[in-house]
Amino acid sequence: MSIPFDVAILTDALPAIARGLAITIGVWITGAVSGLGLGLVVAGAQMLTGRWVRLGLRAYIEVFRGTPFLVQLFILYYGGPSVGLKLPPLAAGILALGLYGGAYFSEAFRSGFESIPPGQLEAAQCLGLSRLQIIVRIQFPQMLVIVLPALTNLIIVLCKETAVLSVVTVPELTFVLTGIGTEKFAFVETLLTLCVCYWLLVELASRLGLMVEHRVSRFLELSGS
Amino acid sequence: MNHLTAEFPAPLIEVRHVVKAFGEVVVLDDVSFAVRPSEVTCIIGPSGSGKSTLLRSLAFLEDYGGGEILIEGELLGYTDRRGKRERASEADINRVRRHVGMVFQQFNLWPHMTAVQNVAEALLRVRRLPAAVARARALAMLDRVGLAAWADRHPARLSGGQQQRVAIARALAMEPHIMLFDEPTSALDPERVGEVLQVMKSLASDGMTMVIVTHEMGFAAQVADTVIFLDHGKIAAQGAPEVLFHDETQPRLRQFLQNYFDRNAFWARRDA
Amino acid sequence: MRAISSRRSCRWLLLGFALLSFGSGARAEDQLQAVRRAGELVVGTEMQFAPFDFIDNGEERGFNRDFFVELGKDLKLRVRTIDLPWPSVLPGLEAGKFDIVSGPLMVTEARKAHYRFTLPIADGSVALLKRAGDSRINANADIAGHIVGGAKGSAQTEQLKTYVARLPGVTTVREYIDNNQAYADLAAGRIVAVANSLPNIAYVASQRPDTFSVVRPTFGAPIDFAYLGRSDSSSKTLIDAIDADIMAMRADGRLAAMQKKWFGSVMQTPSLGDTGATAAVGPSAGAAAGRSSGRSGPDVVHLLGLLVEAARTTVLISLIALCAGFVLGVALCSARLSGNAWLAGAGGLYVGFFRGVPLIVQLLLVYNCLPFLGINVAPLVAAAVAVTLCEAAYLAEILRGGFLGIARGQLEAARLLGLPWFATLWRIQVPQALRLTLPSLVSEAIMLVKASSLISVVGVADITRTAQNIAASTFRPLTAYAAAGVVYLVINGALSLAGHGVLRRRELSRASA
Repeated sequence: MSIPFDVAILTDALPAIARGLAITIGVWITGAVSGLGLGLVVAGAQMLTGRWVRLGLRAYIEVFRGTPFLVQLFILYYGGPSVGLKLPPLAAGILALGLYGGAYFSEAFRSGFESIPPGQLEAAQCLGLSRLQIIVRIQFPQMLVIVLPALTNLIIVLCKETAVLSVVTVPELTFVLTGIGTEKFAFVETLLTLCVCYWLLVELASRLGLMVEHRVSRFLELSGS
Repeated sequence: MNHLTAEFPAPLIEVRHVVKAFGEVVVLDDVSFAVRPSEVTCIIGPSGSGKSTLLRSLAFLEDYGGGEILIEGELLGYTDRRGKRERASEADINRVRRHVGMVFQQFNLWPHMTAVQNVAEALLRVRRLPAAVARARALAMLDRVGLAAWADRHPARLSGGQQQRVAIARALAMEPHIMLFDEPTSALDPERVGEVLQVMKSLASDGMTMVIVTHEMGFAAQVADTVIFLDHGKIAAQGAPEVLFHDETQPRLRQFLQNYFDRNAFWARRDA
Repeated sequence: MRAISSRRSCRWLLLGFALLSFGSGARAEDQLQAVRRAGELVVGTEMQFAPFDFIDNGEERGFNRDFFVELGKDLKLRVRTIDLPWPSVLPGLEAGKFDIVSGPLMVTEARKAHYRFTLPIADGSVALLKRAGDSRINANADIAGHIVGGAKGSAQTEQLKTYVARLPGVTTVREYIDNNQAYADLAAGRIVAVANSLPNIAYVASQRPDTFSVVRPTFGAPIDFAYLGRSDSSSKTLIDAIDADIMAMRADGRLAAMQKKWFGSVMQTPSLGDTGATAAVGPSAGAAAGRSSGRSGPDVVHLLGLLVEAARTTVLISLIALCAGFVLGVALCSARLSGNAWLAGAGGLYVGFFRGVPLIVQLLLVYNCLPFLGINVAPLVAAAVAVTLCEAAYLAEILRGGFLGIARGQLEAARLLGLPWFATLWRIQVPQALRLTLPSLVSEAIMLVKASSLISVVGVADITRTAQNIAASTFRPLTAYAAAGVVYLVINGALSLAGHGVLRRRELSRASA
């Protein structure tokens, strides 16, 4: 059986594909930034708050890391209205990505924080610095470099999860291309295009991540650390 | 750096019947001693005897189960609320130990900051001094330990001895009344030990109250007013170095010092 | 000895694979004969199309089921139904994954060009479902300027798009992966109407009269509903046989009885050559036909039971992917670490591709495109293959770290002793790499279980798909998906504990050594 491939289907739909790609990138970046912010807050809060808050944060992390993203998305999008939370697909998608990513980012940040030798923290304690000051002035600057590779990986994971958003009709790349595929019975062209697009996005992200890592470590080398 | 020895004849540090256990293992067993102003106390003993734990307790980096530690008359680490002892708040602990400075075996400098930034950090964050004032004071401290020229270097580009001196400067910048040293030269190459001991000697002669855990018997013999021999969590012997180091009555002490007798040339000299 | 025999078995594997792809490409045999020989008719459909096909309390019910039971009795065949998301149904037919599509589907010119329809069995004219009490929508044209919904790839949605194109203003048509998601969004108020064939939305409205109501009349031209088969010559006899049976059921009144039961009234359907169909109204009989939807409390225990059963599929796929993926991963890993530039490059390419492309895209790719290579397998198998291929890439990366952590001296010692590369790989490198990377492998297993939820998108009845079915039939999406989440948490929690246990035992044995 021959494999059909009609490029015209793709070129005709170029504007729609471009729109889908733009939405994918937009959702990805917004979701990643929200996740990073949330993760940092959660990691910091785990070090500063009392037992019950910490327990609650732990529960959040375990639930969002222990269940599939698709199920979380369904709960948020289809289950939301039952508790009065009715979000349009795009907002639901970004929120779900942020919550999902936040749990993973917070664990990365936490291990980064904990990798700072405790002696440095004791010295700071003796000098009278407060817990918050220690986190901000001593742990955070050093930790950032250490967790950079893990952050890059997680950001790439989020890029791939944006494809799942197609299931709740977010008009991102996968949604657009699978729609074209079903309409024109053109599965091979559309799915291969999808593969190429995501592959490129992921390559871009890893290259960028490596570049940032090199820049930061070069900066630190110059300053002597 | 001068201390109010006339106004406060009372001890700066009082340790009363302190007990500490890690689970089943008793690390400090009914330890009591006092440190008067401008006194230099050296704590010696075999490894595992609890020396570091005792010193760290004085800065409340370790809590303690029984007994009391008083810094300048105030109970450290706990509050006595209606007869019940509770762990004090972070703010209270910091308040009581604000006049205690500590120097660690591993220096514990912050690698992402330069030497002067390390020294100035607490002045900026805790004392909230303006940046220019903090920097000036930090530079003065570095000069005190002989490192003014290396102020803008990061710790990675300093030798071990230099790093430890920066650590001393960092603690001194907060104008402590008491300086604690936890084996300050154990992590250093032998050539580097001297420069650190030199700084410590000059601090002592300026009248600083110091408690030092050390293996440098020669230093202890020269500089200490009191030497405490800690063995298995108990104070086995305590006294002036000239008395203690020549004491024939304590078998454990003699056994411990025997290691140094053969190797340490200062041992034989009866320096004041 | 072992090295030689493994090479031989490789050759057999390749031969078998070639035969398989070659053999399944040829489909010249008469389909009716093939079905008769197998004793089974395989029907493809989406179980989200009440009252024709839906799942109630874990069972398949609806008009189609009743019809095919009768058909099976008449033709003396077993009937097996495969449940798939709608966009996968027609591709699956073309790929030969099943014999016929039930659906039913609207008879359109575009489809007639590609496929062969059976005789019509119901009226499929398209109408709108709206929220009960929504005073904005009283006639079809009132949807102008709002957002409306339909199932992706369905002819009803096509009709909807044609209709709204003639309306003033901009009316957005949102396409959902199945009709039930569309109904859910309608109930939630995100869209103002859903377009579907009259029998379907009338049924939905009858099940939830306080939530939905039907907008009259139907729009667009009247259209028939029929079943669908392939149009090639080998399928002719099968469709002819089915048509003959439809005529028989019409003659003896069975068809009318089924229509009445599920749609509320009898539909005039044309025989060969006739046109025109009249719409049916108010399938309250459908409600009387029993059970489900809209009742106050679903049997929670029963639903959990369904989910736990579905968990078996999830665990099975994960296990297969883990084991088969491990073997493949070891192969990839050794290819990447071999000195050979081609092997290393190919391995790197594989890992880069399967870790760079989202799993959902890989699943769709394997599921839809494999048939073009002549490989026709059940959805479960296709899903297992896709997840395995993907997992192998991740495992290869993890194992690579483990392999690199083994002291070089060990490999040199093995070489000097004359061990062949295969033995060195499996007896020396793999066990140690396993030990070194055990924590990472445990977390990878957990990720695998979660990733497996995506196989629901290609219709495999795993935990997530079962939860979707439960959500559709009980109208309690939050409960259904939350329950699914709990099941996943339990599985992953158990995996975590097992991982900790293994690590702890390793620590203890090392400590006592």
